[in-house]
Amino acid sequence: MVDEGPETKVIRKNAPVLEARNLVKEFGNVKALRDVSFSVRKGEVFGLLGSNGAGKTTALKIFVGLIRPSSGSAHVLGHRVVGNDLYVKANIGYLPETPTLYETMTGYELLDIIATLRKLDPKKKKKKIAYLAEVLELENAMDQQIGTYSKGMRQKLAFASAIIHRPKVLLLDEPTAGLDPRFSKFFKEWIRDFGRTGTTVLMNTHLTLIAEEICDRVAIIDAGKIIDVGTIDELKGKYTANTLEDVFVKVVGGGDWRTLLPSSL
Amino acid sequence: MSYWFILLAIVTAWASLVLASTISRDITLRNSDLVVRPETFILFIYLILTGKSLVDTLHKAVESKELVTIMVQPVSPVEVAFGKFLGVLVSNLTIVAFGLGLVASIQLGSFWLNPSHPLSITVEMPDGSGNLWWDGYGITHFQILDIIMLAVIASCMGFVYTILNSLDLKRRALGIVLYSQLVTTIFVVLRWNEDLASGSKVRILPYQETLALSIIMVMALISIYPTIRYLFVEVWTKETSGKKAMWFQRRSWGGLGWLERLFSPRMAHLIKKEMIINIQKREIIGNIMAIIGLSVLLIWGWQKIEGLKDIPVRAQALAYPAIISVGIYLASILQCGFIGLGSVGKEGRKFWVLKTLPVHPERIFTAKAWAILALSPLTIIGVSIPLPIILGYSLVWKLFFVLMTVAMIMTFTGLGLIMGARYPNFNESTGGMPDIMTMYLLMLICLGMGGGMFVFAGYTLNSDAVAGMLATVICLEIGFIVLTVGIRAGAFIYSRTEPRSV
Repeated sequence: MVDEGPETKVIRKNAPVLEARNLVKEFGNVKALRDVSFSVRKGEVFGLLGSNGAGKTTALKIFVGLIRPSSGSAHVLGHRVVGNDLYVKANIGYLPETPTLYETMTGYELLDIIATLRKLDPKKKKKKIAYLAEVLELENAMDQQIGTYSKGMRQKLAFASAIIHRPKVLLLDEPTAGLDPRFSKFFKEWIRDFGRTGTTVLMNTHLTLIAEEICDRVAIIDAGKIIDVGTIDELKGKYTANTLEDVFVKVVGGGDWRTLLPSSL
Repeated sequence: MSYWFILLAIVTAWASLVLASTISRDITLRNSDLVVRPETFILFIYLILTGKSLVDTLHKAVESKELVTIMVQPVSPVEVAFGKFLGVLVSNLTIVAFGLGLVASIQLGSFWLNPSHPLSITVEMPDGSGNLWWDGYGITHFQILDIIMLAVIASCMGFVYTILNSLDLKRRALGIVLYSQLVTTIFVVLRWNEDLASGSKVRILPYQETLALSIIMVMALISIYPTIRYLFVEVWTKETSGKKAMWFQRRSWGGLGWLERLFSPRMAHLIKKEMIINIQKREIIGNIMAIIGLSVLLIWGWQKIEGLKDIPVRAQALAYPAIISVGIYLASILQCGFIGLGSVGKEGRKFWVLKTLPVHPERIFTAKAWAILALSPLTIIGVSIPLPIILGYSLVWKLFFVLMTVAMIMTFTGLGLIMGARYPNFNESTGGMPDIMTMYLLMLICLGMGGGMFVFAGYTLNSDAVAGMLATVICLEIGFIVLTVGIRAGAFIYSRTEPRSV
């Protein structure tokens, strides 16, 4: 069997943990990403903020290795994703926007398979699964088939599968979607804590409040192009706005809202 | 795919002409026990179409979550359900039209190639009444009408049975018992005709048979309305509100310790995952039933044509091995080729799970291959062992069929994996299977390769036992090479697959 590469490689000193260099992605005639460049430092929680269809998910998928860029390159831990995908995958955790899971597996079976494929020690594996099941309040559902889970339970299980190996990089696509307010708050705290303890987080969201709460820096993306990058305060100052939402509307453009009110229907 | 379509159309036309040329001679089979009537074939077509309707209704209507977008529109659910039924019906009628077109092309080809002897296979009956299947210029207009009406009935049966099957136990049992009266009537009409013909000179006339079927068709069509009016919404809501495990899915898969004894923990877990997903597919169960049915059919067929004396000795020697080979081909393609073909597509929107894990694609494909191969003993036990034993073949020939089955299994698995990776269908409502043209293409390629291997090894074995076994081993090696290439090529294509929907 093909060697799947070492789990750790020496990272260039001061190299950004995540870096997009002139990323372009075309799907036929549609340009999903146009010359996107940004970088994320170690321990930073970085948000990609954009409207629906802006290209956020496409960018994330390129970092995960699910799709290849048409041109440009994505780098994780100093290594180009294309050509080093096994190394990259060993060091990342990924939560998709709508995590569809194997419905006839039980929650335990899914985490067991994922932990084994991520080469976790069998003893640690059991402990971690038990711990995650407990904190995510899934203990009673672990032996049930995923097909019987609610949307929020699936989201929690997918989150558990993304963090079970304590990755160096977390890539999260709308992580709080489908969660009740209690677990939404819990997820946000965990994401902040991951950042504080050295895990680099790249997070997609179109919810400005969440970005404002947990991101160190954000990149505003629209129609496949990065419009601006900065800390929340930098962006608020630059666009003389009180909230990130106002910044976003000013940058992306919101039109005349009065004409779009339901009463105009 | 358009190029493939043109190529396939040419190959099909060519195959039709070759077939026509081969059979455009008078062939007379005489046998005191042989009872092969048109009704038998028509019944067989009906059963296949019913099975297809069951699967179509399940995937495209009853379990379709996408239907919610239409259900919330101001459209009557009855109209929506009726539209779904029409989808099943049109699909069946298209197949019938294709089949009848093929028959027409064979007849025309036969006439064109050999005008003095148009297509004519005559099967003489015990009483000497003769002319039962191909009757000079092919099937009668009554038989065409029967086939079309049975396609309609099969669509109704498949649709209604699928819906009845999703009801609670009492109503399901009652509904199925009541509705089965229609099926029984069809069997009575077709089988009664057959039995009468074989046992006595009295038989119902073709138009009477068609009339009986038309009455059943009307009854079946009428049964559609109450089903969609009173049951469809209830069943659709129930089936789409959460996946319920079937009995074989409820067992715990945690205890697959034997896998870990044979493979590394990672490979064992990958195989386990593949097996869970394969077992999830109801098609597997369908395939198992099909293989059991095939086995029974082969034995039945052998009994029916036992003592075939009037065909040339060379053809006699080849007839039985050919029947067994066809059986092995069908069983292997069902159990291995088609499962391999759906192996990537069946991941559907779950594609991201494996693709984002640090697992080499070759390892994933090796696991897929092992999961398919784990189900293959059924093909050997069900098809390639019983008939050679019944026929009293020598040990060498028995071994030949078993080894050739292994070769077919490996070859078809390899080919299925390559094509499954090349043409994945991530639409979950189809169970991951690609379009019919791709399935057809795989069948043709497997037929070419499998046929070539069987002819090569079988012909050599017929001449010399030692050389024959050597040829069989070469076929095994070819199978192994195809499987290895299939795993590697499939993995390579898989690593470059970029579905937008996942």
